[in-house]
Amino acid sequence: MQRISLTPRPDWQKRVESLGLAFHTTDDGQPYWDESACYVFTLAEIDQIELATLALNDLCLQAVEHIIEKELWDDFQIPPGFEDFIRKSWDEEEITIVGRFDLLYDGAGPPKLAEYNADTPTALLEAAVIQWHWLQDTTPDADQFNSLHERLIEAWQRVKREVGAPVTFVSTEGHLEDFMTATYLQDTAHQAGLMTQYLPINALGWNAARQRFVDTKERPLGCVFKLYPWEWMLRERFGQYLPSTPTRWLEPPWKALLSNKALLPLLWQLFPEHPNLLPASWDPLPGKSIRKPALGREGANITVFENGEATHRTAGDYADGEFIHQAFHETPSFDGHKIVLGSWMVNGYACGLGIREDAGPITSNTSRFVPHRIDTSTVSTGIIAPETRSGIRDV
Amino acid sequence: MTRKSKIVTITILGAVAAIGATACCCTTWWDPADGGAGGGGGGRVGGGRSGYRTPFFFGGGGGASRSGTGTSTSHGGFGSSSHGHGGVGA
Repeated sequence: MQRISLTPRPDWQKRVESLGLAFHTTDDGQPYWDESACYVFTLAEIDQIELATLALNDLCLQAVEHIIEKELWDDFQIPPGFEDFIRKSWDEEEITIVGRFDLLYDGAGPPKLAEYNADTPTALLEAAVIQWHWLQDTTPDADQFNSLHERLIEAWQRVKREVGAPVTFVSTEGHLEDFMTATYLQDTAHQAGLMTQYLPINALGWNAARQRFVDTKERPLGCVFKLYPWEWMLRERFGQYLPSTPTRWLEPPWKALLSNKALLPLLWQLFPEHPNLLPASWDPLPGKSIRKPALGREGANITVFENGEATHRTAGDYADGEFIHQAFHETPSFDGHKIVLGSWMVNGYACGLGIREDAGPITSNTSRFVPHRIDTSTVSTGIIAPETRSGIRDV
Repeated sequence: MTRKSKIVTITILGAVAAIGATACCCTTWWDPADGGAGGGGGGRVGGGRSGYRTPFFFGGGGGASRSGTGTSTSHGGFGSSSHGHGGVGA
């Protein structure tokens, strides 16, 4: 695994904009999409990332089963009244489309789970489309750990079979990154043969007479993909109606249990010393550790502790909630750039990789996205993940 | 064995990129039966809008009809938590 410097394509801004990446530059003028470098992996390293991702997905599904069986609703801050809503979606094996494991990995030692973005992962357009076209433009014969686009279309084909309703995509009004991410997912659903539409989430309507969620033209909504967190939906005014309507939601309600960082202490409790996990607890940890809000986002309100002293912290809006503690694992650094790998699950497949770089140890919403490729002159470990994976329990 | 997608085409996304994101926050359905988002059978699109149409059925398998919609619909019951926050990801 290495980082190499490159000369960006002369028209890179125009190129990525034409593919939907309108947010390629941060507000302070720095590139968010950064093709002045790329990471090169060996096939064996990609095998290791893929297998770790599948293993972690398996652990997470076992954790969901445990949470529901033991009714650990309070630990996961599930408001009263939604227990059966979540349990039902799990028991009926409602399909999941996408999730992203954030891994700490430098090519040596097993990848370690930093956290799991199970409900509303972003940086998908960058990983699936922008870096694929970058590769085709720069080194078309090279390979990349990225079959996200194909897997997404397959996932939506499954939704078409299993749900059979048009799909409405919603996200926060006025937030460009979320809108374009939702639009990319909408595009893949469209290519799978589904009828689709986009709405800002505040445009969703509740028709009390019909007891249905509707769009602005009073059409009942059979299936909604929400790029909007479950923990917010459950607590908002319309949340009370969620359990009683036939609308199918994607990600499914059981993902509310995995998008909470309370998952990290539970995983360590259930699977202590697992090679892909870091020690985690609700209580402060000795030595160097990192404290994270259980329901935080975008690297907000994170504090690094060393022997009880805070040595690094980020600001944010999540200071009032519960916090978990995770053993500090040095963020891999290449030429002074600290990286986190986003390893994607789609419909049960580990099928893509995105890399975020930052000067500091905490990935935030302005951390740069840097593309990657695989050095195809290297050899695989020969340990190949199962070719077909269907169903949320079939792992 | 290659690990990358064979081909990555965009349809709606390309149209939205060409039109401009704000112009596309609408409630129009994209129907694949119309041959893609703007023509071209699923290939890249430069902003055409021929993929728009109203669906024939509403609510998917629920079989709901449009009768009795009344005026009892309220909006804005989702979305309030995002105020003051950035996006939803990282």
